[in-house]
Amino acid sequence: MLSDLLLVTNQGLVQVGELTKRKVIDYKLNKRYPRENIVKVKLPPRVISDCYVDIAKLERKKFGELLTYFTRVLESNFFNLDLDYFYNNIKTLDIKELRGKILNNHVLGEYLIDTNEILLYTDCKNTIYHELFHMASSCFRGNTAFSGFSQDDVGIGLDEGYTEFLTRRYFGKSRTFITNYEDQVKLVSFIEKVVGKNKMESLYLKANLKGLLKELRVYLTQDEVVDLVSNIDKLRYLYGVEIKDFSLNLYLDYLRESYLIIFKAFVRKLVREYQQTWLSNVIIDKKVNDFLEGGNIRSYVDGKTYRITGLDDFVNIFQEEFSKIGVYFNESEVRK
Amino acid sequence: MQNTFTITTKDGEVEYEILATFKMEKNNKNYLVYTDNTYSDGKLNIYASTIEQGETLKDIETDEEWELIEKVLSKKYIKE
Repeated sequence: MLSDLLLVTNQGLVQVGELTKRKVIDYKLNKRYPRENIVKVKLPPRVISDCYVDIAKLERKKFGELLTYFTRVLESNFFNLDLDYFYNNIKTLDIKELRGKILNNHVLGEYLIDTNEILLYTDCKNTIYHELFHMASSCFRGNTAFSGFSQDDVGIGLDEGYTEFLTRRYFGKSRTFITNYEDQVKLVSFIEKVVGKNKMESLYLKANLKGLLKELRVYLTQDEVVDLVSNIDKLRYLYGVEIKDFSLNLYLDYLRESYLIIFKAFVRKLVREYQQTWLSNVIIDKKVNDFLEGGNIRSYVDGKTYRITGLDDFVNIFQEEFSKIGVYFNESEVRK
Repeated sequence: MQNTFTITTKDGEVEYEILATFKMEKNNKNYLVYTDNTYSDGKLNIYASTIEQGETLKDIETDEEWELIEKVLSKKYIKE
């Protein structure tokens, strides 16, 4: 329907929705409106839905103030082209409060794609932003439900993590899941560093898991990508049920494996950049520091802290990947 | 894909062909560039408006906006 075209001008960014293929060379740009006494303008639905939320009508809905604020934040921070599903769903969205009916797994809210409803189980208003992001990134294609980075049952862990990540980025911390979102949120934040913020946000809002996997496949093998997605799904499942001793080790293993895969993606990206434009040690250093943010990654489960991975693992991956192109760094150089 | 829209006046209905739609980040306005496929001195008549509330077309207000419309039509700076 619309093309992803950006026009960068001295007036700033312009997002081009549609552009005719017709060659427009000899034209006269009329600065006067073509018709007097206009009774009605009938625009195609896609043009209307692209750019129009009836704010007045939205304000009158239940949670109108929050919906309006969410709309303004989205429109201020994302391109119209990324908001197709948002504009499509916001018009008919229903929000129901079902207080006192917290589900067994302590979920405080959920978005139902089939009925385009948000169900809120408490009066925790921060939850609504999380569910609104689900709404803004959901659609059906044929009989398959796509929501953010989930497609039917695949990618749910990635999707929940990134939904919460975006909610915190733009609205502060919500509490949809009482148990723990931290690990998923942290994992997706690292993935975003590989894929890029604007790209990943756009892919999420367009419910494009395939696009995300394609981005990752530039640096990872098919098996690594599959493992990453399924590990994060398993994390969500394991943390959705109460973590017992027998599942804790599994949980920590999946978490560690996920990080190591993401480390590989990042380092391989760095290797490519190094091959394309020679990077100085200073630049490599900065990129690595920006990526790692300290080095050691921990998980907090049931009040206890577990070290998941850290600089040692990263150094090993770094040295291994660079050695494949005949570049050797000694350990002390990498650790700096 | 429907590439046209209609404007109804007291004199009747006229169909226009959409040439471009775009949004300017700076002022958050949505623009529509269109033609009725008529010609003046051999040149295609093109018009442009901003879209408000999804159903109202408003006049372009500034030279800056007209300059932008010309740039979009020229397609010279577009990055895919």
